Amino acid sequence: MLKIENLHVNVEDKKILQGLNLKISPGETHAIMGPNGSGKSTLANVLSGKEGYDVKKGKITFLNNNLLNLEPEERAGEGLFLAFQYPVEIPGVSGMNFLRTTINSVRKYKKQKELDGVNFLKILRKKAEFIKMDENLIKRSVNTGFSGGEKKRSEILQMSLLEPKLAILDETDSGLDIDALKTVANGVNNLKNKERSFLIITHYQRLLNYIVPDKVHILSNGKIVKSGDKNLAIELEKKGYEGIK
Amino acid sequence: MQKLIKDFDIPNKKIETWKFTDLKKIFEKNIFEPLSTSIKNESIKSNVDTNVEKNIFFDPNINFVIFENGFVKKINIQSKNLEIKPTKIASKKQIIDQKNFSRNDSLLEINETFLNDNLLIKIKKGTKLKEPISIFYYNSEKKNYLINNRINVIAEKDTEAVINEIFISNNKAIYWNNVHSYICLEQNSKLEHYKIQLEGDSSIHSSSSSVNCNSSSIYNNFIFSIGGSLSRIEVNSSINSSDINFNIKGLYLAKTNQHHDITTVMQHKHPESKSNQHIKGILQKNSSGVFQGKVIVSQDAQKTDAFQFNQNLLLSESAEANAKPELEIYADDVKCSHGATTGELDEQMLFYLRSRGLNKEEAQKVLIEGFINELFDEIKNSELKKKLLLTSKKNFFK
Repeated sequence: MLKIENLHVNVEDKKILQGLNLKISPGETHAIMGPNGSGKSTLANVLSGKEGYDVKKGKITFLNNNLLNLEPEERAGEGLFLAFQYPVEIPGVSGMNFLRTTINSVRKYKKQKELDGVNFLKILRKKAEFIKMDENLIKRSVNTGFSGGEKKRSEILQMSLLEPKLAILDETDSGLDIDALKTVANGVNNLKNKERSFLIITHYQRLLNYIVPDKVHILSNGKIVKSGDKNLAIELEKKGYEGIK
Repeated sequence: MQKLIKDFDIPNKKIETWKFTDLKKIFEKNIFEPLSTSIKNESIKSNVDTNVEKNIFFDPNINFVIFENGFVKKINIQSKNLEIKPTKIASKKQIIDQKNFSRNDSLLEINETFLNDNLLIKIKKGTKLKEPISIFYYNSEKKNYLINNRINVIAEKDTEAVINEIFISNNKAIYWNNVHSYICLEQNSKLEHYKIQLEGDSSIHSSSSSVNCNSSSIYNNFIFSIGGSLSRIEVNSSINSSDINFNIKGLYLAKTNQHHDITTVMQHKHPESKSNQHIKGILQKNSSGVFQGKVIVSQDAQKTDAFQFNQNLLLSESAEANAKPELEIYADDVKCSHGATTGELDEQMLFYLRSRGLNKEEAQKVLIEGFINELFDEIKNSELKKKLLLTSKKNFFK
């Protein structure tokens, strides 16, 4: 699914990622944990194609494509999804229109027939209900004035509509109370299948109680310093990042 | 001796309130001659122009007035207790008190000197008009006419009305529309006033609305300006009493070489009234835009609540936006604020949309539409909202 080889990334001449390697196979859920400033969000942003990240060395292969050659929208079309740490508020753009446009943009990319209003609404209602997202919220401007929890829910709703092959969740647990966390985790678990992979980027182990990873990696100073199974996250929670080194 | 247009000093950058808009410069290339009053009779004979009926804002089932090339061609009154009539040409008599609105330029004098038809609209006491009043200004001639109309509106006590002014032309027409309106809102009246400026690309538009507000009146103004090579739209308020609500939402969409100017003056003269202005501009290519907003709060106007906000979206590096907010506050217990932002499309928003599969062009379009929509959201009439959005799409995105 995803193969990252010896990735070096600078941000404004500052070395952030320094030789990162990672391989995720179809159907696997990986978690990347690390202290602040270890390069977690940089990794998420580079994968999704955000500007301002200078890839110095290395290769990222996503489903046999050289990911770094693709525009952000092409990455989305190929099946990559990033759930943002800080979802952007877009005043004036109704959530309903936005969701329909995104789903149809991705369908168009895949050369599938675009959804008409009726069919779109049917799908939307089902998925929104599952993650307990109020329809009135969707009718409002995208993320505008949403609480932290509502924003994260809205990300998960988008993910479930776009049905990506690889979903990256960047600090999705931050700012969530326990109920919202469970709902979000439920939304993710519901999407898990043999084909779909997840990369969960998080600071705390808490989320991993609900979304159980196949593999856990510890990122430190731009490199993966330790990998293990779900128990590594539990160990980390006990000993702290200092204790693991 | 009869005055000629060349006897007037056309507004230019030397005048403080015209710092960013030079009307005189246009005259170097194109001289506009006042439309003679003598052609009135021939023009009134023809049928209502199909060009107006074709316009998406036209509705035969409401109250409407059609001006064609400066003269009233048709008046259709559907509602009871509504009076609409052309008043005498060149009548200098002030129907509505103008002393609250002083000008330091020649536009009004030009309008008075060369006045074509003017109109008196009166909504009679206690009437809540179900049907709006639409005024169409249609121009078809390529003759460099200077057209001067005057609209007087009296909303009597306890009335409610909607007035739409729609400025249209055929593609080839070249003219300068100089249209001024005086509005008197009597006690407890409410007026929604839409100005939809869709002049031809080679024309000039200068217009003003001067509004006298009496106690507990509400004025909701919406400006949608998209046409003309140069456009100057002014709104002047005189808040003569308490408990008045004065709102302006304005949007200009500036294409290629257009120049759009929205200039407002809020005069808070009495305590406890509110004014709220939100003006947005989108500028393409070599266009330029101006927002000048002056808020004057007199010493007596305690507990005034005045808000002003200007946002400009630059879609090209050569586009230019000028914002000049001015607050003159002489009272000490007031809530006044103003703000202005000018910038390109937000990179974070663009990336967010692209990460959801929209290509760059689509993402830009969605954001521009959102920028417009945010202002349209306040329009309660969903039919009108749809038409305005459609018009902006048709004229602006292409």
